[in-house]
Amino acid sequence: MFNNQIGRREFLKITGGTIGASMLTGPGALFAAPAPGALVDPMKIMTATATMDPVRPEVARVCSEAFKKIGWDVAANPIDYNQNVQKVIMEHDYDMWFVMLSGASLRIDPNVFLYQVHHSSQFRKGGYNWEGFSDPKIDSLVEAQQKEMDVEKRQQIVNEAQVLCHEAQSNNVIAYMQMTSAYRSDRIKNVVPMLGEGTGSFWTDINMEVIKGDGYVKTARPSPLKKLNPVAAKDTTEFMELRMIYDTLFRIGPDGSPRPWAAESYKMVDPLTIDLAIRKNMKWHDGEPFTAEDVKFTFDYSIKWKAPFFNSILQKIDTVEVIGKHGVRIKLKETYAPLISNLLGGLFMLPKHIWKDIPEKMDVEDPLNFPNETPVGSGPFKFDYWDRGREIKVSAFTHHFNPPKCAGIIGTVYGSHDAVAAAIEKGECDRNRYILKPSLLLDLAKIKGVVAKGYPNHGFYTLTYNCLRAPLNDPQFRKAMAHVIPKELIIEAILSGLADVGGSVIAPANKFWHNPAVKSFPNDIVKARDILAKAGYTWDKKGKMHYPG
Amino acid sequence: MQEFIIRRIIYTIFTIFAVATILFCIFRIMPGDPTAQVISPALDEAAQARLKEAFGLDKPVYIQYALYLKGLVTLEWGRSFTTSKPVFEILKYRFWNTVFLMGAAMGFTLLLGTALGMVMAWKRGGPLDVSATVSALVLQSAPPFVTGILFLMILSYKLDIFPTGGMSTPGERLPPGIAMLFNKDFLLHLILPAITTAFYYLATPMLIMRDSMLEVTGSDYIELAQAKGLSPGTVMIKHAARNALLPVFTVSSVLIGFALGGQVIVETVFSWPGMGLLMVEAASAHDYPVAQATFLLLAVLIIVLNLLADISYCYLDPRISVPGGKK
Amino acid sequence: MKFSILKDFFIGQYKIIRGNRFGMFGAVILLFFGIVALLAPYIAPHELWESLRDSNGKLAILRQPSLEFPMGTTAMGRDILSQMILATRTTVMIGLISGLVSIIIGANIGLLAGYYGGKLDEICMRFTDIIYGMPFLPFLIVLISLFGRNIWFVIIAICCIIWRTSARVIRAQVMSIRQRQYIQAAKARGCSDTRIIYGHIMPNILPLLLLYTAFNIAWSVLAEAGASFLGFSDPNNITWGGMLYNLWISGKIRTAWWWFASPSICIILLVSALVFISRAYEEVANPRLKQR
Repeated sequence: MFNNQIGRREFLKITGGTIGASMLTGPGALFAAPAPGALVDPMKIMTATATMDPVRPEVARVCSEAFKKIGWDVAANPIDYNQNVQKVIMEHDYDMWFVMLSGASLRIDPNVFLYQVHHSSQFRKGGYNWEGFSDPKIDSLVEAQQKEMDVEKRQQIVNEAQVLCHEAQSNNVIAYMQMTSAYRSDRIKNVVPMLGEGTGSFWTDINMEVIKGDGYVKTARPSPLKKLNPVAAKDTTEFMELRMIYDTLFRIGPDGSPRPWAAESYKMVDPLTIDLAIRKNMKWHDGEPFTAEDVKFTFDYSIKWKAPFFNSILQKIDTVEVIGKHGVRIKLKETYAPLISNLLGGLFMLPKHIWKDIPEKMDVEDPLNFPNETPVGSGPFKFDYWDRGREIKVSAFTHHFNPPKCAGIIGTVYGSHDAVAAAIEKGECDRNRYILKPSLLLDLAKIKGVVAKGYPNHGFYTLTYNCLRAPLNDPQFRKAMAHVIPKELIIEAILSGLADVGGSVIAPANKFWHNPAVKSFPNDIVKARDILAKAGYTWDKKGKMHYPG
Repeated sequence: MQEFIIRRIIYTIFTIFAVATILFCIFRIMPGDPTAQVISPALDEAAQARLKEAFGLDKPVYIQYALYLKGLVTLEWGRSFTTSKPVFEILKYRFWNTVFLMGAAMGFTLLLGTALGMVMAWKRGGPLDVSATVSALVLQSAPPFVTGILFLMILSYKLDIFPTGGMSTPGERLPPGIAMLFNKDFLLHLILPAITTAFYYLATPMLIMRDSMLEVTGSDYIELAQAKGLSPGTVMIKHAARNALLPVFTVSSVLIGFALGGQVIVETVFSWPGMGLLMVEAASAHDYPVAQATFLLLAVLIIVLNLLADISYCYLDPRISVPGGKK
Repeated sequence: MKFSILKDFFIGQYKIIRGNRFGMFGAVILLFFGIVALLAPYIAPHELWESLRDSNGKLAILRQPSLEFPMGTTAMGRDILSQMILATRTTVMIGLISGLVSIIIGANIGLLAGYYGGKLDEICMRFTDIIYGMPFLPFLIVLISLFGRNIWFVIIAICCIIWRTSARVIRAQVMSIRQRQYIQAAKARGCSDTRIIYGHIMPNILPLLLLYTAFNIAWSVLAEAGASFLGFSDPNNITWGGMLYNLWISGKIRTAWWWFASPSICIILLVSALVFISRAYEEVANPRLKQR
């Protein structure tokens, strides 16, 4: 009557006959060995709901239809996003996960997509290698690139790693979607697009000028901002707001390379020691001076409370000391090439005089739970007010060493992408911040006075496999599946053509690190069947696929 | 009478308690880790353990239940997973937004409904009667998101008369408290969601008014008044309408109760930052403390409105004088 | 014998509806949707999730109604007519199942409470009060978000709530019938309670039961549409509300009027058909409404 199929696996789970076993070994191990010649298990592609991102359930559906065509029963399973995170990243209890790895500026360095996504040590609760992928050769390569301080040599290793990662297909990169965003060119000028951030970049925030109006730029967003806690920040949209208010030691420039910011200059004393000269005359928004002490405090505090986004890198830090009046020395436990781009370029500096009392003197158990009602930072924008769920306003902090060119930014929540587009079209808003739905972008592009475009991105949509479950534990099977998915169709129908076919985990847009030798597998079902047949898979009369027997 | 009211109040308290209990149970039997209802799974394990202790989740169920009830009464509703703000703080602000919208919508429905009902009864069988009945029934069959989107399409996007959503124009901060109600910008934003809600519920007060008018106009004393030579208009308004209003009045608080539950849709369509929208956001973000508290607050509102309906019913309807006479 | 009673019954129903213009209209609409729902898999021209290409090989994205696509296409190039037909089936199923289950619950609670009175009545009615205190859509949303987006949870959630009105009304009716002479006579004859309840009282409240079955179905359809529109529905089974949800999140409500029109009109048609039919029954149950 309704579409409700319960597979063997599902049935096992529901009946719970194996609870004991799964508690001992984890759900991955439970289903490890299929009977030879048995029907390939039906599976589900978990993904977020359309409310969160309309693209995801649709792609999951297209993929599952494609898998069905080759004799494998797969269904799309869109559930709430944080359930996704819980099931996949925390519990590793899933078959396949379709997800977007967004191309934030912190991810321009190849370390995140190579080491964190592929290294076997990152298969842990909360880690990025939720695939359970493990390959000694890849492990040693991605470790090597992390330690290699010479850029040219590191590039070589990165190139090599990309080839192997693509061959292994623990991740099937479906598409590099462009950063689709729009702004009113008749109201603001000097936007600075940036790789992976489009016009929503920090450089736009501080460089754009208002042509018409009171100097405030009205920015539209489709969903409300959740929190403004610089220690707890995890998602890209939070970072986008926080980095206006809080400063970092370095900022990733529009070209993707880090430039000194709150740290005026730096010196590598030896591969394990870095000396930073903190900029003089900086002030917090409440007038207190910004000192090297604050920098040291920030590191100690973030290490102590395990700032979730930076925790794994912070663990590589041995000590942070104040040297002289404006110097800070960071000692590492091991060499770490992406230190500046991934940590110093992202960690928000906290005012010691405020955060030293948190959580003790505030009514919270944990600084990660601190609502931070009135953030005080040292960034180019000063916090004005935040009507939760509706609006946030920041104004230029004129004392800043690089003050913004506009008077401030007002961020307003519109209920949907459509409302955002309408607001820009009507001129009620000047620009949007994050991704705007591609199909809407094409409509907006036709409006006079609006610039609506896709900008290059190194983030991507990817189908990730639970590499501990059969048949997904078979690299040949994964490789065959890479030939099955119609990426062009997905891009044409779902992403309105504003994306490029996915291949390597390091996108072509990331010019320096991308290895052009890595090409996407062609959409070729015959080839896929061929690979599968060679690996021993068979098909029955109904066309259903069976394990090698 | 007094005894009746006291009994109703006791029942009401019992009902609220029961709803709270059901809610507690639902959140316990849900699949997955039940502690996830107060502890964000995003936190690391040490922090989770700390919180588990703080919330008493390492204790047996009945103690948890007691703690839960205590928390409800003392307004300690926990902290939102997504925003880290105390739930009470969030709801305080959302609550009034919903109440304002609801008040405007229901006021409009009741006024328009009774007025139309009156005229319909007066000109019964006429074209107005028939067309109003049919259109009210059709409006009742049209889910509020259909009418809401239609309004948006025509009045906001096409004709650009009304704003597309929210409570105020971006950048215009509303004055706090009561002063907000007299803000032009706020009122302009209020109109579409209020009318959408109002239309959906129009049929009930209108048809009840019509039917009860017919009932009243058939009774002896109206005929007497007519015999005395009073003009039909006077008879309609002075005598008939006053008596016919009674059932409309009693039904209105039940109606508001229903409307409160349906508010989620209107608030979503017009991105009105009320409790309904909060409910949807919390449910899809699995922000359990917020979802739980919002649900409960809505339930309490509805239950109290039902109580008011009962009491007003027994005050206003002289036929019911026996305690618990509704039976 | 039995059959002729049934026949008389249906003829009676037919007359009730026949005698009322709107009731007739409602019946025709219902019949239409019923047939579409039954034949759905056979008459849908395309598959539900298929992205279609036009004769030129281009993806048919957001096409206005035309000969090729009578109701137009969606942002994904899917045929709206096919989606409508298959959605009719799901919507009607959900409406029927939850409408029937809830009337069975409601009727039994009403019958038992009304007939026995006393303690049982008290318990049943307090329970009904509790359910009356539940905000309907929020309850649906919470339940679905907790237990998963599965069509059966939607149905269960609807059934949990919707019986409340019918229980109250039926109880009141039963209480007045209980006093009638023939019931007293049956009691005196020593008929069992079960027999009196289902054999003597129930036939008397049959019009009321039908009335509330129609209402319950209408409410279920509306509730399901509401929950679907908010995104709390089974993504693998399409309903009219779900189609509107797809439209809402695609962000095309400003342009794709055809995508909005078909499901909206069908929801309104189906629900108002049920409302009109119940109005026809109401006039039978409460003849004063008609006389005047």
